[in-house]
Amino acid sequence: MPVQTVTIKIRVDRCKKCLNCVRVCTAFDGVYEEGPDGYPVVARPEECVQCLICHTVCPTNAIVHENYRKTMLINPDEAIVQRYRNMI
Amino acid sequence: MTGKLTLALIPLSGCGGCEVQALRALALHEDLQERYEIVYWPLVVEETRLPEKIDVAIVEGLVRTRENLEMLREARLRSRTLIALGSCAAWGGIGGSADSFNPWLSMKAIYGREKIEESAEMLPRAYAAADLVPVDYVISRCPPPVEHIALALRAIAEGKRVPVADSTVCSQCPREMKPIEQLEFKPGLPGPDADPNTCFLSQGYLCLGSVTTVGCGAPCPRHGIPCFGCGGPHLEIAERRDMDIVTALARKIATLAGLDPANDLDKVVDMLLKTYDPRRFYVFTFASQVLRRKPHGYAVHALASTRRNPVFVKRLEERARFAQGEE
Ligand code: SF4
Ligand code: SF4
Ligand code: SF4
Ligand code: SF4
Ligand code: SF4
Repeated sequence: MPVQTVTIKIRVDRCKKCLNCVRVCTAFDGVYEEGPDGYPVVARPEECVQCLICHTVCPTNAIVHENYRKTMLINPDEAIVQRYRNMI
Repeated sequence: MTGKLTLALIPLSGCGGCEVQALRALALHEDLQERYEIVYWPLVVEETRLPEKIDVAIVEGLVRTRENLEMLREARLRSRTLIALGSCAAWGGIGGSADSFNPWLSMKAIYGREKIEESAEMLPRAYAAADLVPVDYVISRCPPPVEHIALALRAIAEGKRVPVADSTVCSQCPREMKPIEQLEFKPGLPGPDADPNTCFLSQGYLCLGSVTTVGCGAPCPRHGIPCFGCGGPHLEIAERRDMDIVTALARKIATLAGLDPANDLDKVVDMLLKTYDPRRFYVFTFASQVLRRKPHGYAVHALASTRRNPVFVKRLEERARFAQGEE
């Protein structure tokens, strides 16, 4: 499977410039940096380990991760379930 | 047939504020008057029976009496789209605080007896309408803004999905969020010495803006009052089992204070609950089953500690004795 790179966007229309995201990021080098205008910038998106803790500390829900890993729920087909019904 | 959608507004145990907002929404938006025909709404039309089939039904207020419960069930059965309007219908709202007291003791304290002939039959607890039947839309806030009601009714009439906003009150608040130098909480409300341009959290006051859903324009923090969360919890807090109002808020506060939002979470939660009454976090969600079911049980703790509060219990019993003596 190809490695997906996450894209991280900061919705500046809601960002409060509190820099909680800069403070909290768990990546070794930190994904975010404070930009010249006080808004966080996504400086090293490739470092992101997709822990999403930054989402939970952002007071305005301003961080968007695209392409991050998603848990796949495998729901077996009813016909297949039936086939195994009487198996011992 | 007029080609209009039929609209019913069913008041449960609310204050009528939501009804006024719904009425204003219809009065101010003429296109809605052309799209909807009011078939039941005790405040507005004389019809006393709920029609068999309704296109859009709106319920206001919480479920406090058996009659409320029956009306809510009928509203759900007969309507295509059901809207829970206001904090009461969505989360229990201010009225949900009634759950702090034994309803029969409250009756005694006010009327001198547990039941008055022909009075409504009280349920043992108060419920948010949205907790009892599936609702299609929740338009929260106390009272809900006119624009939200108009937008929802218009979208429904056009067969579109009602757009959902996913930010918090903070995104509309002009106060500047600064890091917290020394983490401590000040009890009570901010006084005149509070800085009007800095976020309440940064100054050590409690504000629920960062955990409350967006849409009001943050009038309270603009006018020096912290957000009390009338909009109800932010979508993610309501939906995710691992999130609760207190913990979500503590995470943000911890990070603002340079602490670790995971490891220091319990410490900040403890500080919050020591400084403020647990009810303070659930003012508008006190009766909400969504929050009572959260794993850490902070809302249930708020309920239990209020019910056991000796001051409240004593006062209610005194009042009941007084009311009975008056008979
Ligand atoms: S945590 Fe959210 S509001 Fe704060 S600076 Fe980062 S993106 Fe902006
Ligand atoms: S998801 Fe984790 S690693 Fe990625 S930016 Fe957010 S805090 Fe940093
Ligand atoms: S939500 Fe507020 S305005 Fe609406 S019925 Fe409840 S208390 Fe009244
Ligand atoms: S926490 Fe309150 S005062 Fe601070 S930015 Fe949010 S709404 Fe405004
Ligand atoms: S700021 Fe908070 S309490 Fe005030 S109207 Fe908005 S949601 Fe309600």
